[in-house]
Amino acid sequence: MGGLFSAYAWGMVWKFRSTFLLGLANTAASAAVGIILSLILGIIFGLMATSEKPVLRAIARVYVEFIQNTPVMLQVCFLYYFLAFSQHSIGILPTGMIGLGVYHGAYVAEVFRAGITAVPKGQFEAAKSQGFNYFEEMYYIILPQTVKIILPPMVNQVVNLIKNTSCLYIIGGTDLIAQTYSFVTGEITGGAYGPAYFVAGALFFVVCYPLSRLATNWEKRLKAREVATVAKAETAAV
Amino acid sequence: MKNRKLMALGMVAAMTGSLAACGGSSSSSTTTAAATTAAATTAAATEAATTAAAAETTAAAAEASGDAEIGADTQAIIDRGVLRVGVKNAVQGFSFQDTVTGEYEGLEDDLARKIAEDLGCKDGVEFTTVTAATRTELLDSGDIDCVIATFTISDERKKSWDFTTPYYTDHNAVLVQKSSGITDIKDLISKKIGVSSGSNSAKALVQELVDEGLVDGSKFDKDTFDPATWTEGVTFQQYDDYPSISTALTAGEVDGFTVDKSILAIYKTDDRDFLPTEFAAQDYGIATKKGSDFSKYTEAEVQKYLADGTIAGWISQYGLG
Repeated sequence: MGGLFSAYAWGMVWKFRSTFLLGLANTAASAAVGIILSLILGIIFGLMATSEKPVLRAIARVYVEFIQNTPVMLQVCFLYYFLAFSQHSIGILPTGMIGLGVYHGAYVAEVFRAGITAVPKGQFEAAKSQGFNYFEEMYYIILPQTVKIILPPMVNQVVNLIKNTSCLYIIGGTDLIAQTYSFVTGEITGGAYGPAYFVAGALFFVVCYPLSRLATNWEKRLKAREVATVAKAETAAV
Repeated sequence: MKNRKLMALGMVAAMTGSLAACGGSSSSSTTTAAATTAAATTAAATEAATTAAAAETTAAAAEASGDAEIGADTQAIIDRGVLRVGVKNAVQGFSFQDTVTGEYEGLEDDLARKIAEDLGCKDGVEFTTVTAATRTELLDSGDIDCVIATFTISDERKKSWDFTTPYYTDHNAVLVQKSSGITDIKDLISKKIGVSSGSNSAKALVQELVDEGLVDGSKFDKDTFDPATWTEGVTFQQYDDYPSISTALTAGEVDGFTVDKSILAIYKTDDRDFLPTEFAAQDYGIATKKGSDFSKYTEAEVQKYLADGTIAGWISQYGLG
């Protein structure tokens, strides 16, 4: 009945395609907002983690450790039920956006911290010696060098965040996984497991794979440009 | 040094594993209370065990189930010596699992034990807790032989699974918070209703609203209805299990909770009320794999126990009348 090669089951999936598209749209929306939020949090806490002020470093450390060492499911559940029972519910999708953003923000912060730390110390000293203040130093000297270091792990985070939208399922989410699950257990649609799970997987793949490729190519371009710049600089020096 | 490296590797692997687990988290809880044989089944079970010869057991089973023939699928269950049944674990009167002893108690559990007894399964019944969402998956995968879990018979479902004659008929109802001010089905318009994934409650409610003329029925098609995409008059939020819907109702995430009344009764608290309208008769049948010869066997069993008043006896015993 639910086999991958059952024409009936494929027909069901096609007939109910709007359900899958709705799930994909919800997943995309929560992922998009989640990514933006995680980037903002990541930059702020990443910079704090590399700051010279122990207080800022400590705050960043607490955030990162607390978030990284508890399951994202628990965080989403906690946020959702905490808000719901204090009569401040913001709905399932917005809860998911915030939950995923805060969770991945901790990972992005670590990526940023690692990226900034990886820039040679001389660069910081050079920036200071030229009279740059902290923000100018970061913006003009350090972060541009950080970007190509952190690109691969960043894309990893983005792809993981997209896949983690499936955690919304636990709070009754309307994301792609939850919709697929409701579909395969549905009264009318029930039983079409093979095709339904296959389609959900394929949809995730077509979103995540191009992202990975894009990042790989971008990274290659940045590295190629660096080589070209260095070569040019060396020629000029000679 | 080498050990340390190995340990680090192990930790990385474990972490990766936990991340991956996070991704595909459909936590279908299937607690298998292994072979909860009830006292009721012992008589026949012992007899079957002593006359260990398979042929004799088969003969006894065939006799017990009237004229139903024993096919290959049914014989496989007899040979295994245990009947694996998917049941609910929190539906008072139908199937309720005592959290202390692990024993299942209710009409559906008794029915399962009777069938195992008639089959001559020496180890009785192995109960597996199912939800509306997991019951068919477990049936299709062969983890359980049949589902006796307040499973409503419908034409759509009959395309995928076999059902027996109904052993009980229930109706749908709607549960709301008293404080919500909702007192009639017409107050549900433009509200969000919590339903269980895999149940037919959403469709039944829309059908009722259409029949009452409260919702424009032009977009309602029984064959393509999907709670996820329905937006006319009411919207639905689907949950994996009933407790989640109950929590959502308390939290105000949903304004109503609709499912079969027998199930709603568990969640009826002092601050909640049933709406006066009951709708959509729900005929509960035993579900088996489509085309399995065990379907015929279960059908004969249900017929037999309906005819001799056993089921009527359970209905009054568990206060379901």
